[in-house]
Amino acid sequence: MPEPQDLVKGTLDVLILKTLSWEPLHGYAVAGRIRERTGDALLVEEGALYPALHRLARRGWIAAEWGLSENNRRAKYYRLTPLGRAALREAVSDWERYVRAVGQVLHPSER
Amino acid sequence: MDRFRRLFRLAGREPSPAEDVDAELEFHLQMKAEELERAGLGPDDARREARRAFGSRERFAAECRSIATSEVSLRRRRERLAGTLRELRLAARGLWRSPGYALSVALVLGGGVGLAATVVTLVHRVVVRPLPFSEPERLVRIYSTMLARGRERGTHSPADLLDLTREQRSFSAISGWVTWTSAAAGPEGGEVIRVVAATAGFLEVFAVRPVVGAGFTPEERIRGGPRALLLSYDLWRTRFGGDPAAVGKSWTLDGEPYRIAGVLPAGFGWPLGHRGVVVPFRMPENVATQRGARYIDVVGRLAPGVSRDQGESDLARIAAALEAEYPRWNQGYGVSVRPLQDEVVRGIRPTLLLLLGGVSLLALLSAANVANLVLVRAIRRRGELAVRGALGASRGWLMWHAVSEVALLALAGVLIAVPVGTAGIALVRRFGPGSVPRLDTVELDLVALAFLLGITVLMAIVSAGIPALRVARLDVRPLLSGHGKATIRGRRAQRWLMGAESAVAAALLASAGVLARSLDRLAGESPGFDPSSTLTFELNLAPRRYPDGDRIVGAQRELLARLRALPGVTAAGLTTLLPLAGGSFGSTFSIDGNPGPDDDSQSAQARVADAGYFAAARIPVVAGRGFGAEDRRGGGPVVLATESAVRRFWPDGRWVGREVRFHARPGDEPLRGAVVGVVGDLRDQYLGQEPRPLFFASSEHAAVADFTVVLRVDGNPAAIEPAVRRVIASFDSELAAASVRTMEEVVAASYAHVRFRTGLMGLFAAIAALLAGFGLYAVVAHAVAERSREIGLRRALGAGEGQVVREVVVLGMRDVAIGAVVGLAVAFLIGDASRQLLYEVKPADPLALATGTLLLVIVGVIACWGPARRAARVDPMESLRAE
Repeated sequence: MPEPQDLVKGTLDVLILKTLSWEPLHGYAVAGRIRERTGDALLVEEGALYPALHRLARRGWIAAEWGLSENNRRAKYYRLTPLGRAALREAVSDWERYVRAVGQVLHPSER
Repeated sequence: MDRFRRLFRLAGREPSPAEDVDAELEFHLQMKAEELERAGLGPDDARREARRAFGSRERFAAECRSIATSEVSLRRRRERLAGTLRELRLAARGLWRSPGYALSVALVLGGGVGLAATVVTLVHRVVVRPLPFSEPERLVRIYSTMLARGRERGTHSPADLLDLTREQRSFSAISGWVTWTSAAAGPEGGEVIRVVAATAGFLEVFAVRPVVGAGFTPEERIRGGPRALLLSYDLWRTRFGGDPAAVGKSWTLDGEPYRIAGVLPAGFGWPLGHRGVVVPFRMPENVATQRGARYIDVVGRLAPGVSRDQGESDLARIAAALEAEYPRWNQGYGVSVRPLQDEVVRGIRPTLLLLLGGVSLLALLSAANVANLVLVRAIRRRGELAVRGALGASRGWLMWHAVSEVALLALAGVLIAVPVGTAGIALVRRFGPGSVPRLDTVELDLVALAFLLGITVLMAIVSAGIPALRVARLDVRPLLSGHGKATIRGRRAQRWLMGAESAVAAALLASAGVLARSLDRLAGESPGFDPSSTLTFELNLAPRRYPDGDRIVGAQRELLARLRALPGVTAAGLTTLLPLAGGSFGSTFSIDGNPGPDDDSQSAQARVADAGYFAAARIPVVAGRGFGAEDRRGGGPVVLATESAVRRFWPDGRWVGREVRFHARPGDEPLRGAVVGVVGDLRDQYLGQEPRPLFFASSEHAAVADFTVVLRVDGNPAAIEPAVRRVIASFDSELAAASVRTMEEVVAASYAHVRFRTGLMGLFAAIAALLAGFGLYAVVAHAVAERSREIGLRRALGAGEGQVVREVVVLGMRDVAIGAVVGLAVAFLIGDASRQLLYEVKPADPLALATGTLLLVIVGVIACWGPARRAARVDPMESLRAE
């Protein structure tokens, strides 16, 4: 079982990948989407997003490109790569397996 | 933020990753602040709140920065690797397109380095490496000396050895041995094996134990007891398949069965050689009374903490005591103790050093050759390099581009050098003279190979890299349009390299010439007998069966008569100490009762021979008579003298009937006989010696139990060996012939090492001449190609074909000439340093020097001829048109 911090980091990575799976976004927009869905539970410090984004970019799962934002500012946009898409699929299935396993302990099903 | 980036762009460069990160985080903060402002906060509050929600900006920025830089460096490394590989691929393609160049460089590189590695390995393994025994510095050779006679490296008598062994206090072991060769029959065919008969303690001296088997039993060490031997490791593996069950089995040598008592460890080497056996030395029965017979070599291992000097004084003490106790035998005899390794390689060291010098020059030559070839190519490709430089390639990349080809060629050179070196070693082992010690342990030294290769490649890289760097700063356009001249200073380097090559070639040619003259003179010397069509072998009559002189002489007469009766045998005789086979024995003597002065000036070599010997060996009787039927046992002893003996002792020529008294054999009573004849001089030590005075006593009067038989044969002498062995066996089943060889083999072996070094130097010289010629060809061809326009113009202006050819040849030979002069001087130095190796020839032998120079000139002119003809055929009209 991974360490608690890794768990959080790993979860954040999955969230970023999922968020970007719909459309390319810049860092601020990603933060916004995640905060919308999860409240402040997972992204206590917004800045923590950026090391995660850069690491994912180094891995090749997302690609970065400077572009123009909706208000004509230069912003760094990220998009999911095919490699990232595959990683996302795997991460999702891993997560679901994990949830099921923990769920068995917390809510054992009647046999 | 945009102003920031714009400022950078104005400055003309891209923002760094750190600046990017800052920009990205700043964007987030601004957007957040704006959103908060829209929600109703004031600008400052919004900004503050945005920063709070963000978290520690510095921390996150630092994290992002480190991720970014690591990514950048990773990418850069990948790019560099890809670029290097790409260059290598390009280089490989370039080499593939110029197979001549690639093959030349690889062959010269690999061949030169491989040859050099062979010789360096030889020198290292034979001379430098310590003997493969534990604590080899404690191993010593113990010689008997007679300083009054100038003898420093003499052998011992068995009795002396026993006394030394018993009384010594400074050695952990001492042992003596004698050696001969025996024939071993077998299903794979006969083979000649070296036999070392060693006294007890032999294995202890070398601190080895048999790896299989238990060694000799006490009975096997005694004369008359069962025979046993220890196999060398190589023999065990090849002849007995490495089977431990071979121990205990029987093996027949010279017709005698021996029990295999054990196997010696691998790498034993000296004095056994690769294919040898050790048998126990059996003390002769009369050992106590035969103190004067000195024929045993002795080695010892110094006890821990004892120095060589201490060991020597200890033994000297014993020798002095022996002198006092047995003045008759030991008067004037001392001992000397020397490090074993020095003694083993003593003979071969000057030869190997000479060869090392020769091959070093050759390696230098091949390095210069490679450098020249690479330089020429680099100059030719200067256009390519210039374009790359103009397109922005850094100096590092230009160097790598120029050098990548050389790198690939170096790899090819390694692939060629290893088999060349290995083959060289194999050839030396197969054809090298037996006098090269430890040859059996020589295997290619990869360290030497790597070192030599490194040096050569370094030279090549330097010669390729320098023009590459110069090119990077050149003005590109004239080169691109093809009009630029070779402003690269390749020409001067080429000339220096060519000069160096010629110097080396001249030095090697001249040295080889001097050596060849020396060998020629040596081989032309007559040894004083006719070695053709003769078979020789050693016999040892057991004292048990032939206890006295009468029986010995009777046996000899009978045996020789039977041998003479063999079909094909035209003459037979016997002697002690066959000439040129090693071994010598000198005695003082008195003339007509006059013992002569106190020093040893009245001494000469003493031998014993029968009547048939001189006919068998074809030694002429030049005056008086030889031994004949009238000289029988019981009659008055007679003596034959060689010409130089007569010249020395009876310059007035009045030698007939003079009486001389001398020891015919070591340990014998002196014999008194009248000189009845003079025989031709013999060169008994080596072919090049000044013949020394020799006296022969007749075997009838000085009965010898161990002697050498000489048979003159009609046809091939080796063919009668089986018949000879049968005759001997039928005469005495316990008797067997040892060291069976033809006389020609003996003579050839006596100067095999001279042929070896002369042959090798000749080979080096030939290769050097070819390489120098090839190098000259490449350089001149290149020069002609570079200047073809110039030549065309000159032809257009009226220069004739012949004139152009002459000029090109002169151009090429100019550097060769200067180099040759330097080379001849070097050859003189080499010859002077190896003066001891030359026979009757001066180091500056004019014939040799002249021949060497002439050869070099011929090679040079041939090398220049092709390019010269090509230059002459340049069409002047073409050149004019191209302008």
